Amino acid sequence: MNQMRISLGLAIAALLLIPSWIQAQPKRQAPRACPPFYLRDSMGNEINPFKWEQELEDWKKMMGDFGDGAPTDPAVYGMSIPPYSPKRTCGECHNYNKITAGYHFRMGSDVLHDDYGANKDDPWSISDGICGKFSRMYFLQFPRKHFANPNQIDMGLYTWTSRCGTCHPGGGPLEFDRNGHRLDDYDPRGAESSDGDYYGAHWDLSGALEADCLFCHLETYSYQERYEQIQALNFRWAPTAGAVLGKVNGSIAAYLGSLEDPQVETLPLPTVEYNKSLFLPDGRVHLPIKRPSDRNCLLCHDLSFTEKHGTTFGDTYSVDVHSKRGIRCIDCHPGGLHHNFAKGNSHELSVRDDLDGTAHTCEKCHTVGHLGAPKMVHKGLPPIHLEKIGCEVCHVPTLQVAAIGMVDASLGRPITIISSEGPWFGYREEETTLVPLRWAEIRDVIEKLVEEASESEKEGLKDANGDGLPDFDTEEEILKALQALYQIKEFQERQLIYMIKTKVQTFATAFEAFLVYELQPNHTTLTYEVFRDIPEAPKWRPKYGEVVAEWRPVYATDESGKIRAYNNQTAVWWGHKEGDIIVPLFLREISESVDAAVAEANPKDDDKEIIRLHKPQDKYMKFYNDFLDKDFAKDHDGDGKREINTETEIANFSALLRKHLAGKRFEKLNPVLVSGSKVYEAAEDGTVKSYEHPQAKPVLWSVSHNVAPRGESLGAGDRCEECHSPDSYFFFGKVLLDPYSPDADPKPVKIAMAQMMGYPDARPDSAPVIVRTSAFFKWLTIITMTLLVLHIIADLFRRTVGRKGD
Amino acid sequence: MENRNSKGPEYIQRFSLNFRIQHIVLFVSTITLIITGIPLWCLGRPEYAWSQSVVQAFGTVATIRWIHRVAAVGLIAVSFYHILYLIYSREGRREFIELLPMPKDFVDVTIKSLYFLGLTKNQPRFGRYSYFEKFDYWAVYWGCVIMIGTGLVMWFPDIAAKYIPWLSYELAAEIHADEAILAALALFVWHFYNVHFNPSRFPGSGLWWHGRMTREQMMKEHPLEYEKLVRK
Repeated sequence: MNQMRISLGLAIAALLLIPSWIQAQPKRQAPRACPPFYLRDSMGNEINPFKWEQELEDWKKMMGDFGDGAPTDPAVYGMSIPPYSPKRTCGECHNYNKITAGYHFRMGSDVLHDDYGANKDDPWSISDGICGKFSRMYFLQFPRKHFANPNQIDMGLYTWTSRCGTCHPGGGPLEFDRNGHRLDDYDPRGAESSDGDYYGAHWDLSGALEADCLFCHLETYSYQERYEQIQALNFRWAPTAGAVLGKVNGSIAAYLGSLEDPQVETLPLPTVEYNKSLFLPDGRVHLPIKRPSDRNCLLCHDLSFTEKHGTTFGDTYSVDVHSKRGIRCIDCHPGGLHHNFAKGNSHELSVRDDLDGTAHTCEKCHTVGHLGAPKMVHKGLPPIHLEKIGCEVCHVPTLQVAAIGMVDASLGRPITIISSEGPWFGYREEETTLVPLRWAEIRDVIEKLVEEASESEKEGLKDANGDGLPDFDTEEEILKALQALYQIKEFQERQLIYMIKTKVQTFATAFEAFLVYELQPNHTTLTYEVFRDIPEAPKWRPKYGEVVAEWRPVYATDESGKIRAYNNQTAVWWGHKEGDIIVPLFLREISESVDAAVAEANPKDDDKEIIRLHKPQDKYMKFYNDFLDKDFAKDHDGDGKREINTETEIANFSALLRKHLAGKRFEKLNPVLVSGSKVYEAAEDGTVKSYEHPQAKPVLWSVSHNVAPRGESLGAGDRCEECHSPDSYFFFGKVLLDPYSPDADPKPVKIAMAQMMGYPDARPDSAPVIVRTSAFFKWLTIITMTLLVLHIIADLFRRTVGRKGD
Repeated sequence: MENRNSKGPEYIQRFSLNFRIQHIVLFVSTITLIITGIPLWCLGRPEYAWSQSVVQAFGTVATIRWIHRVAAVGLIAVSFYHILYLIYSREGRREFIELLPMPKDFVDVTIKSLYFLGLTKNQPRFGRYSYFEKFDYWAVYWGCVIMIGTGLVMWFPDIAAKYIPWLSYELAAEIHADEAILAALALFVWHFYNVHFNPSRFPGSGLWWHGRMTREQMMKEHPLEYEKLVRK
């Protein structure tokens, strides 16, 4: 009886406890959806497209009623639906100022100061991030605040924004000047300003570039739309177009152009046409706003083509094992309201180094098996490997994303493509012009190629786009076709190309681009370059080389002596030597000097005009090519791209720069050419000396993503010989050190990987003990086998021929 | 079969079953090791990349490596067993003593050399083991020590790195490959000549299988042993 009572009591007590236990459970928070909200303009007013439409209609009617013949179009009076302002819209509930203080927005601008680099190795830097450092990839620089004349800066902030603002999400330096004034609210002295924030700017028209929250928080955001708005200088309109909330008509760039040209009627300012199907009847919008998806991150961080940094993230061919299992970027790089996302440690970049290593490391999950991560075992692997080698070295064996191995900014390369309607086979004329071949010229070869193709290949070549020609749309097909075309005698001396206008599909985004395929001089490998837009005028930009679609990382030791994986980028650039420091020259300075020198060499007035206007007329290109061929930058190695490499060229080009840049940024220019691992300095008398210098070193981009499945890692399955063998890639793979040797037949200079790691004698057959052992066995084998074979021969002889002698 | 008459048996049982099984395990594992060792040596040598396509026909490199290691276990087992056999069995001890190099062997080598040069008509008279058979035995002895030692270093590099750090992976791989070449050459040229291609043996005898030798052959090749047997 007692027992029953006790049991009952316990049961009741337990029942009573249940509610409190339930309460004690931490409340599971469902991801809070963003409720419907009003879009707001920069004044904070609600944007209700239905109301706006009505108001504009009323205005039109009212103007018509006056009957005085005045235009009734509200746009004429500057009346149009405004673009939405992310700051006012999202800032209604979220702390916009706190969010945009994060490094993703600031990129070093929080420490921007003209004297930032004064006592550092890079005195030209004005911050620790991209907003202030000199980009060794693009050869562009964020402007100083104060300058005496425009020659001292690469470009004003306004131009910088138009070139870099598609990826830089706005806010921070693209919204406020260095004194904290909003750019579009403050003294727009424009072109005449000697203030880096305002030089050449039309902030009042374009608007400041506010932080675009939906860039990361709306999965369907369109990078292409944003890109087009930034290119059009429609900074204020970019967030509206990027989120595809509406269509933006008109462009500030076109408007400014029409102002300059008195012959043309002034164009209207941009207007927005909101997509009303996105709005609720009360004028609010309801958008699926979420934490950033991988696609959002990759919109910018995936652009690893020739135009973006050499690191890679979104590899659609060999997808990172973590991504495959649903782990998102933000799982390892978490952030918070402050938006200072956890960082890895990129070798090349230095923004907010205090946050380095805050991202989840491999060890964090794989030593304890966090969330079911496989615990690392490395059975049979001598522990020295784990001490000396970073995880990514073995676990990121290959990458399938194009990366740049060489950036040559010694001579910007203007490119003109004659016909942008692709695809077509063509050739490079005078290096800088791409000319299509006529169908009649290649017909026989192409038709023969199709005829001889196997059934499966024929299937691939079928004309799907309906242009009446076989479709060459895989690299293999293009390679074969180009190789076949080189069999034609008259093409053998030409640099053949294949141009295809295509939608480039990256992991995150898609955009129209022009791919120009070329064969390497050995005619067995195909390389390509990507052009986002075909420039109408020759466009100066660095020359990118060694672009390959599939590559293996380069291994080098970091500061702590640990071996890490990198994309090794050799750089060639001009600098001004000041004491021990080489100040990089802007690409702009080089292009302007060449233009001036070309103009000077061709003194006819009408030609000068052509040159001044920078039009791609054949005449200018002819002058330009003839000029550079005269011992300035001849294409000695015949790869279709010019290079400055011989002593004469270096001396001539130095003299050219000295002459045209004197008294501009530097009182007296002391030009030096940094080419790979060497610095070439030409004295005024033309003698060239070369030497090593701490600044003459490759750019090493850390490789940490695209982790391969376990079985594909280096040495998996006890394949020790993958690294420990006489010709292994790991120790003896070739790394580009100098793109050109300084002679008339320039060859790239390459070194063994072991040297990158600081092991000059790593070759197994060079170690003394192995050399001696090998020699011992060699002689042992020779002597033993000689004796044994002699014994056999003598025995045979005696048994047969020599028998009679017995 | 044993046709006993006054001259003694027609066949003489030269090797015991135990000894023959040891030899069979030894040659099966050695030949397997050589065949599978070649593609493994070619790994990491791009100039021999074609060897990988041959490997593909039989499976992956992992399969080849697995077979190599199974055969290695065979070789290690027979070597280990042989040492026990030498120490603990009467037969083994006797064989070992017979196999030790003696001054007579050097005399035999000299006589044979003179015979080859036509300077003498006398052939050396051998006991149980001729000098070249002794050479075969000790070559295998030396080979096994080196191949098994360096092979284990490559099989268990972590343990090797801990206890014998001076024997690096690369050094072990070099020795393993060098000795393998010597051993394979000696086996296929020298040993195969003596037991297969030698005109008096071609295409080979069943000695390895049944362990017997004819009386005539015995009298010719191992006269001293034969006389000793007959005397008994």
